[in-house]
Amino acid sequence: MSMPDASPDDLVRPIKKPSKKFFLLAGLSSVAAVIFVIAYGIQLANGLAVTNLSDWGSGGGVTWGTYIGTFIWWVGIAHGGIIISAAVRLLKIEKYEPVARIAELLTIGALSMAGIMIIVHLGRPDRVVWSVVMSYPTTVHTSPLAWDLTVITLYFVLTATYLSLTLRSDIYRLRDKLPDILNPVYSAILFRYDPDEDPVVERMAWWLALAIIILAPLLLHGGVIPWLFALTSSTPGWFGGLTAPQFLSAALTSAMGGVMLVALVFRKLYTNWESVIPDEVIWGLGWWMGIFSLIFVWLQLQRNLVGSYAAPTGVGKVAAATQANPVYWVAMLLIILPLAYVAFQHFGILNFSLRGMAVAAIAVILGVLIEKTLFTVEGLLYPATRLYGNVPGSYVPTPIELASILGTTGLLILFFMGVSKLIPIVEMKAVEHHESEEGGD
Amino acid sequence: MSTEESVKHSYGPEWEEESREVLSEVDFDTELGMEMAKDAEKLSKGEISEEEFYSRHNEKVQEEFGIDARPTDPRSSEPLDKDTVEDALNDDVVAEPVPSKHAERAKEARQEGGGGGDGGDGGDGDDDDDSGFSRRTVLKSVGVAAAGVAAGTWNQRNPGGIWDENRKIEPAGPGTSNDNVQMGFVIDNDACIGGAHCAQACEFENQTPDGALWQFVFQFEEPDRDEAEFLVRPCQHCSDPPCVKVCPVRARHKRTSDGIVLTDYDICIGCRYCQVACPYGVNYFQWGEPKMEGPQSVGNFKEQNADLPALDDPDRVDDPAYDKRGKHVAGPQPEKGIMGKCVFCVHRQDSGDPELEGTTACYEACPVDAIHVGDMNDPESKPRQYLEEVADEVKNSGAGYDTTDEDSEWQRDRHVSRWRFQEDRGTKPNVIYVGHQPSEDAKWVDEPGAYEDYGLEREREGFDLESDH
Repeated sequence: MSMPDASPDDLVRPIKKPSKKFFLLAGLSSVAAVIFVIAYGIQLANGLAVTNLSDWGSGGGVTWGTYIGTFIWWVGIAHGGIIISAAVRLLKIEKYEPVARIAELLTIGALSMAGIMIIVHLGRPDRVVWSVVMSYPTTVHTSPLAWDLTVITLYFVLTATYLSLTLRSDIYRLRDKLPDILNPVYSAILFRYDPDEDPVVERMAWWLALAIIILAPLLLHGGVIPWLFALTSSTPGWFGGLTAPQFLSAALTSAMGGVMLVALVFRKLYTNWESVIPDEVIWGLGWWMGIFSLIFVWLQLQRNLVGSYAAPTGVGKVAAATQANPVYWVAMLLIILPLAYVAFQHFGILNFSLRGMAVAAIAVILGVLIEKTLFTVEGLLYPATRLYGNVPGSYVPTPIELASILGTTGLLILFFMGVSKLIPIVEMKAVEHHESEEGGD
Repeated sequence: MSTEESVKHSYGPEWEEESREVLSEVDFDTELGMEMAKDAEKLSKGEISEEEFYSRHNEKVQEEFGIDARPTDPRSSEPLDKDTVEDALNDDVVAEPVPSKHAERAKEARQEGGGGGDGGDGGDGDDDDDSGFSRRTVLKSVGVAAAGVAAGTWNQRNPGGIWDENRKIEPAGPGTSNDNVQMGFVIDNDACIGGAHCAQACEFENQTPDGALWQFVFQFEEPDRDEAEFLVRPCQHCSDPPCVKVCPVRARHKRTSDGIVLTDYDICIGCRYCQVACPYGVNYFQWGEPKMEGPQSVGNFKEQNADLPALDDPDRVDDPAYDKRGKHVAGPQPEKGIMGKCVFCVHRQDSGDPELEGTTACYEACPVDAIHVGDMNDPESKPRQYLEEVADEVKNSGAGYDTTDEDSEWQRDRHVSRWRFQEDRGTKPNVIYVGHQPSEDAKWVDEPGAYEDYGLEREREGFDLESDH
């Protein structure tokens, strides 16, 4: 390769230089976040009446809508992110080491956004801590929502542990290259650090990764989150064993897209980052994004087929409604077209293009958001209680609801920008591997 | 299970006496019925095999009914006569076309046009009467259980209450507050005239906001019938309520003293999972600020209920919105962002006024007495007694119908069955309906008799943010 090898200096470059572009992006993201804060303020003052949510049943509306759809989306990206990072650590896939920490950071950021969505969704957010904690010993036995809060907390803790453990040796070794002004932060991270701990930390991270990989299909997006929906038999659109695989495939698709997008942005913004995160990583992430979107599309096919053949009334109704909804096909196209694009690249029909991959990543992320929101809404619009099934219900989110998507996206970008000014978002290990490979030649 | 309970559940002397009484009122052999019932219990306990059970009384059944349609060997039995089976299946054992107590009144009310729209005066009776099998023959062919025990079945199947499991889960004991009361409704949908008096009364009594129809009346049509049907839908106060199960904060709960399902307004976080999980759609969220004064307001509710005797008790919270346990569960609009639903007029149950206890606003307002309120576990309660009445009417009227009656066609269309709404969801609802059960293809119709005509709003109050709309 003609590019200079990635070096530790490249890793600390984002920390040192806030450019004009940086401030521009920070400004735009802040505007998005401020719009969201204002919208939420209006909602707090006037109640959820400012949304177009309503009572399902005689009111003909949906009681869960954009907020919950966006929640699923963020949690999916987060859970997909941690699965990517755990797979890299567990199987020691050196190729993807440059994006392992990005995936972990995406998990922490996206989980936080998911948490914000839950708060925004609640009628009485002020009570959430006290009410939940007081009743937890009882509700954890029965309420999927209590399970949900449990696993989100669990994964937040696991990811944060993971991240802080693996960060210590990097900070220690890069210390002299890092800005002095942030010394208190680094001192905190390096609290009682001893270089001898590195092999121990390595093993701990491996076990954490194993735990995450085992628990992912059981408790993450292949488990508790879809069970919030899959267990309610009164909503045929949600009920069933296919819901969890659908969620997991959507999560992994959007997480691959998310990690790729972040990697592409950093490559674009900083000198020589194409060496830090080489093309083959983007190429590989695209491949996996294609695989998971293929599974996603295949599962959609199953659901549509089952719903269109000789389905029970409720299942048939929701399937027919989904198929008749143009929004659904927009979401499907947003996933099928990138899938085709990636496939054509691999078949050699299309040339590999970073710009094209960025567009494909954005498309699948949007596709999953739309599909998951539609899933939430249609489940409630077409309930099993067929007498209500004939209520002409509808739901279109208000600008206040849409502001939450905009705002949390802005907050996530701000989070990444902030973190990238504090710590190296790519591990030293990734750069060292490149070096040792070169040395071997 | 205690000995006392097991006696109740098994076929003891009390049961025998009651069953004999029931069986003696029909034309068929009482002894045979008793024997078969006892063997049936042995079968269910696994003491005898299915094969043995069917072959035991084969001869006697043949003799008594002329046919024994039960398979003598369940594995190799000959297929039953197709017509017989279909007729039997199409005809609910308890679904005899005899109007229940209030059906006459309902009919009159419909003719007077005093209710919510009548689509016509009865559809074409597509009956099997001239198919060669009279209903009587069908009953015979179905066998003993169908004929003799039918009317008594309800009681025998549910000796201790409508949900036996409840007894096991929450045994009553002296000195405990839980005396195993389960409040519920029996609602005669055939008697209902669709006037929505219940919904109006509920809205007034509980001062619920527009769009929050804690009590709701579906008007629906079956594809093959012109006649409008009604389904009255309060909260079902389930014995296994999914809303309670999913609540992440235990705000939604089942009051142990009487089985009413309530929301603790002081704990609810407004996640709306209860609303999502409930198959009946009975939950209504408080989307905006509750009204404190004027019509449909919190103030009105408090004023209406300021004189409840129980509120004089120094141990009680002096506020009708708090129940006897001091929990904020009752009455009017919950605070902004909190879930509300039918509270079984809990302020009445806890009022200390014997005239109000055991009643609800919907029950009181119904002009045709279609709604019956009380303890579903008490065989002497009003709803259970009404079920008995219906059973008796079916039984006493014989199996055929009076074709000389000018209303016979209309009567034939009526299927007096007893059922629970969406029982297959496993919720164990404590509302038992009498009358027509909506089919898979039943469609809710708004016209005639639109809800708005009764001064009720179906949609929640909107919110106008200038930039919004």
